[in-house]
Amino acid sequence: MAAIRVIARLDIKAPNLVKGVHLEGLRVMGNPSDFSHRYYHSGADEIIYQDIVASLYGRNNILDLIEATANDVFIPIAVGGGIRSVDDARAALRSGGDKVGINTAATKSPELIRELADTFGSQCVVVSIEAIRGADGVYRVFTDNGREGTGREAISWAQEAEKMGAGEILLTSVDQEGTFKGFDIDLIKAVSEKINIPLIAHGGAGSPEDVVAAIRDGKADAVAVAGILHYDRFSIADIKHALRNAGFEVRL
Amino acid sequence: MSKVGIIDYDCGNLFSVQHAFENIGAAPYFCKTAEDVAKADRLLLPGVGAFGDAIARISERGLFDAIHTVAKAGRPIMGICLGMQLLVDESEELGMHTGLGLIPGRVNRLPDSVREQNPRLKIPNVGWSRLNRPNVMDWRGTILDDIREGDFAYFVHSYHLQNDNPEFVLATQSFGDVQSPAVIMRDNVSGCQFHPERSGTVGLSILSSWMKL
Repeated sequence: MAAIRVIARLDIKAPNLVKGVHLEGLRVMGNPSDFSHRYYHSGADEIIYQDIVASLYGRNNILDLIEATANDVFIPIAVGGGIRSVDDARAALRSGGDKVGINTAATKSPELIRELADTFGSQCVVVSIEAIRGADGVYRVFTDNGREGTGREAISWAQEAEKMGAGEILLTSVDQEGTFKGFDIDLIKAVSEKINIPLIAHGGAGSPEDVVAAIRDGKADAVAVAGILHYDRFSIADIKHALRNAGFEVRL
Repeated sequence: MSKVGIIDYDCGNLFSVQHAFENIGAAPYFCKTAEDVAKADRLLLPGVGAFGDAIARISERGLFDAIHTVAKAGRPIMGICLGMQLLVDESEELGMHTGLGLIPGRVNRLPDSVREQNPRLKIPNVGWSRLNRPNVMDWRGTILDDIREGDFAYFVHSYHLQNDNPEFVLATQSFGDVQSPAVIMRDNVSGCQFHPERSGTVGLSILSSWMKL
């Protein structure tokens, strides 16, 4: 079976790599291309570029960056942010992306998932879910970096996305994101138990042990990590060694 | 330098493939017509999407016979992912479809049944899996010349080749207790179920070895 994937996630506010807390309060980290090259050479299994302003202002400056990266980074590249149509997705794929992540547009029109899956295949379609835990314990789906509510509930939305043809789910806990306090294991587990497609857990990784918990206890298939790498707290190898010591196969 | 033609039939991300070949020092060109295909010293058949659509596009553009001509001339052909599946006889993805028939075999859905043994097995099968070498197979002089058994390659697929013709299966990946063909070869025709252009240095070395065939 496939090894557990450790995916480097890079939030982009063109032309910079940025990092926030709870997807907000962004700090400029540097040139995204430099970071993705470093992560490729240090064993990342995939790269996720998330254009964090595209869905707010209708811009999509990320295509040049994908092209520059795809030139010499030979691992899968997923591109999210601002993808609203089959044409947007095609542009991202033509620039060298392998998969597209959709969030806002999918919550508004779930049929887009089906259209993308029919056009490019399910393996190209990652549905990104930003979840926030309510006071009542229910996880609700937000968009626009956790700012806009959608009225959807996270678990049933993940199931619907699968039914519509999503190939993977990227699940972000907005509550944990950028805090380094660990993943929301309850959220990950609740979703992974209800879907049959791969689940990428994101938000809150502060240590390799947090990643192990997301995989072992949350039953995620992959993790997306950002700050822990950008701030050099731990390396991809540190994370993979911890996974291997916990009995999981990783590509080292 | 031999002319590498990448078949462009609007199915798949050709740019990753192009960049990967450029990285290993080749200068590939895209083949949209039968004339383009005929000029190639070697042919790369990429592919993402559904089998039926892909084979229909290949036929509509008159590429089906052109590919056969290249194969018969003994020039190297390699299929990647769906492109590998297109090399065999038929597929049952969304109805029965006839393939190029260059290597015997049949494509069907990855077996859901293995998930009962291990719920961590998912379809689509996405990620890096080890390449296993069936005992009888020698990788020397093939596209796996520089690969070590157990090296990882990046797979993403819901359908796979049934392992009915082991004499053409150079490498497999384990999907539960199923040994799913990962690399196939018959004479001058090779195929990878995984994406060499997305499999890091392992993948680039496979493309380099293919260039030496």
